[in-house]
Amino acid sequence: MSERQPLIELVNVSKEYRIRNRSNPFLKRSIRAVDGLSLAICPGEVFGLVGESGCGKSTTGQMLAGIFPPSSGEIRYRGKSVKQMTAEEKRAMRREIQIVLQDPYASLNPKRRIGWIVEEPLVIHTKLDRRERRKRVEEMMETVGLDAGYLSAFPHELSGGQRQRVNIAAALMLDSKFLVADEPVSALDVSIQSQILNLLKSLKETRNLTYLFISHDLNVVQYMSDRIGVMYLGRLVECGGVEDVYGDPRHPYTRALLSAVPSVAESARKRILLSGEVPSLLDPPSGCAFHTRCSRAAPVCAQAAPEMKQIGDGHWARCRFAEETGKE
Amino acid sequence: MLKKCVQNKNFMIGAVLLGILVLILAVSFFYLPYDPNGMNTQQKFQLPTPAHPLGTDNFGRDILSRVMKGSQSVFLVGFSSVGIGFLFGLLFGAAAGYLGGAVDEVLMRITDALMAFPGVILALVIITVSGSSTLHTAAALGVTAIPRFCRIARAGFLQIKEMDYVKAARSRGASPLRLMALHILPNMVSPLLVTASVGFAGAVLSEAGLSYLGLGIQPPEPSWGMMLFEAQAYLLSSPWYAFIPGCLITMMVLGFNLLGDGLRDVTDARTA
Amino acid sequence: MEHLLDVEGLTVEIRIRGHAYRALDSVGFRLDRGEIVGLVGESGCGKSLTALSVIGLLPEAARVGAGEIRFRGADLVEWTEARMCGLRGKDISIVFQEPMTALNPLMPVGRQIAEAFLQHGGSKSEARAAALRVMKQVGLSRPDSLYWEFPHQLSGGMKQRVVIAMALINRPALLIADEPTTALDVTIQYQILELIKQLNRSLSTAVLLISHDLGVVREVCSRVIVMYAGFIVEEGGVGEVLRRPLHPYTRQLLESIPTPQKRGRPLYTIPGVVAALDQRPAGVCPFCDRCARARPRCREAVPRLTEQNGRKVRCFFAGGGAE
Repeated sequence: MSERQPLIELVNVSKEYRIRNRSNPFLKRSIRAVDGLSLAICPGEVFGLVGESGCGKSTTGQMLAGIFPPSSGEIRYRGKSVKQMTAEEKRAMRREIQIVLQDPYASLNPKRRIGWIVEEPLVIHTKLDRRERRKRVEEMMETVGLDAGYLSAFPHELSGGQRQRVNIAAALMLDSKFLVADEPVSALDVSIQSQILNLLKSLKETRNLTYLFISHDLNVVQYMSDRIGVMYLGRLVECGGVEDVYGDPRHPYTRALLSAVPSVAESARKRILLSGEVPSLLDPPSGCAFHTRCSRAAPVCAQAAPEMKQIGDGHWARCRFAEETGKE
Repeated sequence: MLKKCVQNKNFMIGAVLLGILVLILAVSFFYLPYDPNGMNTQQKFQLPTPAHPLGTDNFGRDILSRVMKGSQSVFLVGFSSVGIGFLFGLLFGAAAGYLGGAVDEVLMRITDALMAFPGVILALVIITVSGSSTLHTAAALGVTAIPRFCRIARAGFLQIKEMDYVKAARSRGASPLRLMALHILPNMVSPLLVTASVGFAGAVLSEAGLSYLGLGIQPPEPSWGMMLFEAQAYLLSSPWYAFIPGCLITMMVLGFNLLGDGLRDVTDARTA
Repeated sequence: MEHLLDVEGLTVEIRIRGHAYRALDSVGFRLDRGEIVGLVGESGCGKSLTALSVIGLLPEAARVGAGEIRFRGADLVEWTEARMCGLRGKDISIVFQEPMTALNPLMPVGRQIAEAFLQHGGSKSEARAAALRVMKQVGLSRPDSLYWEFPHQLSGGMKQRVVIAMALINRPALLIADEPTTALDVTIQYQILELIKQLNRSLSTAVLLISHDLGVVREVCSRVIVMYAGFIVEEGGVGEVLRRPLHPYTRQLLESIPTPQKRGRPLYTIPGVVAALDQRPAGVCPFCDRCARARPRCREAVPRLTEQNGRKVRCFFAGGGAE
């Protein structure tokens, strides 16, 4: 990471959800979907966030997009903390950060036409008249590669790939600078995935965008991202440049995760078969969240959660043995 | 959408039945063959003749005119009770479903309380307190209909609130009001419409029941339920007298039920 | 030598609004005892339909138009439903993508596994013993206590193991697995794939693995069959096909998959989309509209599946070097 000011920063952000206890309604339990997450994304970069179910990557993305606020911690945008922003500044920030959600089938209102959906951000945020709005919508449709004829169609008339383009179009209507892409291609066929990935890449270049690219597909993330973060049970366990993390993973979970990815290419990775299941968020392990499945776990791992250790330039891992875990 | 409605058998049969009744209603505002309350004891219990196409009742009043006038109050009661139920049910349900928390709890307990009373009993209480009249009957029935609509609305809001497209709209800056009115409502209004349609029939039946008990629309104002009540005394001698209002009530209830079924089929297929 | 499964000329039609459309066209392949073969393709290619045809679970609107499905020599297409019931779960089993919907939420999982045994005879105590045995085999820990747990108490990976246990309790000769790991996390996916490989070795169960993910197929299968728009377009050893694809579709598909080597440049994209069932022209190569090497010949007839050196390909211009 350079000395540039990060575009967006998460500082020790957590998100807790209250769960009602069935036997005793007064005793509330909570789960920490995101636990003490700190990361920084620089302008113009693609930050990939990976992890398996329950790791908190979607929650993180949605917090950044303003869908709900964090329970604790701070989000800083262009250096200023959101908590200290005026309503005006907040609104300006909301315009600049947009989200593209995973399921192209569920993320479009089935009762509204495409034109209405894409136009909505303009209706909410600007005072443009109808003609001007229509013009911008048509321009955007062209930018994302959709025929303007689709503006009067309903979502169910479009294919998965086309719907995803609509989502991207709606997300970019307000000239956003930061896009959270939550599993943007996971629900699409392989041959369509490449179309959407190419679109995202070219939009990034032409409009100078920054992405948080969330995915469980490690091949896609490796292709798209400049830097990546690996999450496990709400915590960030490793982050760094793509070559560093993929080439020299230091956290045992990252190593296991990368080795489990099926790939069409021949892989030289040693296969690590993890035992057991991802622990439930209702009953997280003490100390290091991964120690229950880790082959290198020592007694101390169950007692105290490790801090992030710097491995190299911009490469960090949350493990006591990160430095010793060299390339095997 | 309209095309699908026309193709649906239930919808069309229901629409035809109701169409006939709406026609009667429309005409009744402009023309009634005789004064509905005009008695002519010389001519009581007449079977249908060209002069009296539906015959006369025990007071010699022309049944056709009474039936036509009666349609006005029937539709009034039906629409206003369903209207009140729909409107307030939707408002409460939306608030409860969208806001959740304490608001949800309080509103739900109120509707639970309302639901605990059998509809007719509650209507009786309200009418006893505020007196019998067409308007009071409608209001009473409306209040008893609220819980049904409220639950459906709440369920709809709870479910749709979590959908991705609502989240997406929220992230683009849509206000809660905009979300509720423009995003959530259009996607959950169909079950409400179906309930309204079927509820109309229920309201008419309830009104008939109340009139029968003497607590609804007061004589000599014609009401289909009241006519049925009066006719029961003459069931064996002049069955014709009971047949007409009974037939019409049946037509209306059947019509709305079929319309509601048809609506449900049509809207189901579309959202699938 | 008799093959375990010998599908020949299978054509399946689907009726939509009074018209019959060909969803599968002259599909033919063979499976031998103990083999793991992958059936690969994208949505609309017909791979799931092929699996359902073999086990006789085609949806209402679909029917077999032509062809034979020979299992141990007998043509299953001719069989009655009653006879097929005796076959399912005993000689041929199937595992689907979503473990959540495959299990009855109201019955303990052990009982459900035992029920799979009881369907084909045996006593309750035998069933329970068999269930416990197979639960151990699929890697479920503490089978005795797990026996009585309900599906919602289990994780996704465990549920899928339960489903696999149900499928294998009667030691079928053939297991059909339709996207068995698509709904699971990556590390759990790896566990389940390893389990399938291991069970294939220990029980000699042949596996027909259906997937859209070429990586998964490479992990587990020895042979792969590539399908497109209802046709088989290529078949061969997994390593061979992935290293040197002969059919343009396979080649173009591999080109479009993101890999680390392709960082920094745009991905190859296959133009267009798979034609919908009711929009597939007859008498032409199914891929000609999107093929980078299409020539006039491709629009004149459907190419036949030809064999060269143990590999099959359906293209007039197959062979030749990489793109």
